[in-house]
Amino acid sequence: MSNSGHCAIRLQRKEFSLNVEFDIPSRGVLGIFGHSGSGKTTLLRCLAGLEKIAQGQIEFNGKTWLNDSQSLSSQARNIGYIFQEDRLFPHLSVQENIEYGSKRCTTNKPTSLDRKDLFELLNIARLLNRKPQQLSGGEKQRVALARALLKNPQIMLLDEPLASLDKKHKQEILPFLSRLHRELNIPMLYVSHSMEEVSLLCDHIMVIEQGRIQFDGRLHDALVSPESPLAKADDAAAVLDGIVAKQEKEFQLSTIQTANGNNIVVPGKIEIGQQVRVRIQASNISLCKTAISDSSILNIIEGTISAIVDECGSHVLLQINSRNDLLLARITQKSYQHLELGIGQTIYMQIKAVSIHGT
Amino acid sequence: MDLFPGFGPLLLTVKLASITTLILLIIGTPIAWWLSTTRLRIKPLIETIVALPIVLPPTVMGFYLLILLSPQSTIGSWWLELTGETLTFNFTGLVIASVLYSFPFVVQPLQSAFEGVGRDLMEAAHTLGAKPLDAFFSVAVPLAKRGFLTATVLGFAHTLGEFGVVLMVGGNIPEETRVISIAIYDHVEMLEYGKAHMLSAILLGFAFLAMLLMYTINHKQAYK
Repeated sequence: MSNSGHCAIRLQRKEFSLNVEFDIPSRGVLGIFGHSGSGKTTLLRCLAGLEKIAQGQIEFNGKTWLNDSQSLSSQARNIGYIFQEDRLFPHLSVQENIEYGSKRCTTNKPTSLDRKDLFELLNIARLLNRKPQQLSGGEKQRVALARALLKNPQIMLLDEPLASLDKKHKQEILPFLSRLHRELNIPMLYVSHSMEEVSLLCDHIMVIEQGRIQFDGRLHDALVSPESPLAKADDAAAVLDGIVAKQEKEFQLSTIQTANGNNIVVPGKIEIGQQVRVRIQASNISLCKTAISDSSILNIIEGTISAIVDECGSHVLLQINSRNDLLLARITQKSYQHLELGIGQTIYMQIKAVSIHGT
Repeated sequence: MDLFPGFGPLLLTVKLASITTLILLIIGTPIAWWLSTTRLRIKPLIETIVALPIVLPPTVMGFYLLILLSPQSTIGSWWLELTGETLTFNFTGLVIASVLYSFPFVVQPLQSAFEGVGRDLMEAAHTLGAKPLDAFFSVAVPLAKRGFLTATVLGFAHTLGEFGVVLMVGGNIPEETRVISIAIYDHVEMLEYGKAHMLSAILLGFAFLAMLLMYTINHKQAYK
């Protein structure tokens, strides 16, 4: 991945300071993960030019957005910004809201997105004549996405776009975001405090705590490596990318094959050939020293214990390598000792298919 | 010439109120916007100055304006040199006095309307490529339109009813400074109650209708 931008941002407030330096990828999703108050929204606002007191250096696609002598205004940065709340203009219809950005688009380069396709993808074609007040929360956020995307931005900045939505509407938008990510060739910065969203969408991740970067790296590493704070979280989980290789219509199951050749059975009928990312929680994996054939569990995968990620209280969190796919398994200290496990040990992971989530 | 007694003062009053309201909207809008967005510490001071005409007796304002605009003052003498006219006891002076007198009635509704628009939507407009002035006219103004309506009606109606300031600065010159409220006062002084009745009824009727219009439109908007 070549770098399309670099930034070093400092911002000082009464009881908070932000001091970060990182590369902006040329495409793909960079997740910015942190708890509330960690400074992730402020960081995104600095990038968008919405924080007047930001200092430092921001370079993006050969342009200087910020340096010691100047700060480019938000409207000149050519960004697409999605706020936590939809921020649609209440006096304009959905269509007029969407055109607000595209009419003011200054780049001549035509957008890589077709308007019709996008409306279909976001399922908003039938909403165009309505006023924002007549839309549900999920619909509003989808319109906001269309509005930001159709102004043809060079980068998308998303600030917890799903935070104000309930679970049902979240599930409605997540697949859109993940498809956008595959189809767009501009970078996206995705701020979130939800491990699930971040792990299902991002390629890279940056963990922020009290205005400082704690970890910055590839998502797959961040989720499973012992150095990463994410691997130690209560809801620690690994993700695997793959392509749907088989569909069992009668059981409503699909089999996903990873690039390394592992097969994972997941619930749901997904089209063969589609790219899918699955998230497997450490607590949903149990371990066996021998392969069992008469188990109700559909996914039994062989691997070797490659690291002990965390040991706390009654639990042990293990990193397991199966054909170079890395997974996490959380088991009790008692089982760990009883099975006489250790690094290098070959084991069989049992993963309940119904516990796997994906996009 | 008079269609009916009092037509002259009525016409003059409407002319004065229209010009005053127009000027107030032009200079009041940027001030109201600034007040609604600034975080500077002098904001309360400016707000106080803007609000003063509400609480000051019109005669006090009139007295200071009389001194400020008189041909002996810097402004008055400069104006006299420039145009050959004095600022006191003529229409121009009356406009200046009315603008100051009705200032809060235009600025305050606009300020609270702009505060209702908030920073969030303006930020969204900027991220969508709108420059500040563009965002102001395409987002803030349409969303503050109730504020503009209130400001226009209040500014106009309040100027219609002014008396003390006009008397101090403008005096009572027919076709020049003799506005409707002064004409009413004259008629009462001369015990011409019939004429006073007619002009008062016009003013009352107009004030009632203007306010009714404003509240009706605002009510409709609120429940749309």
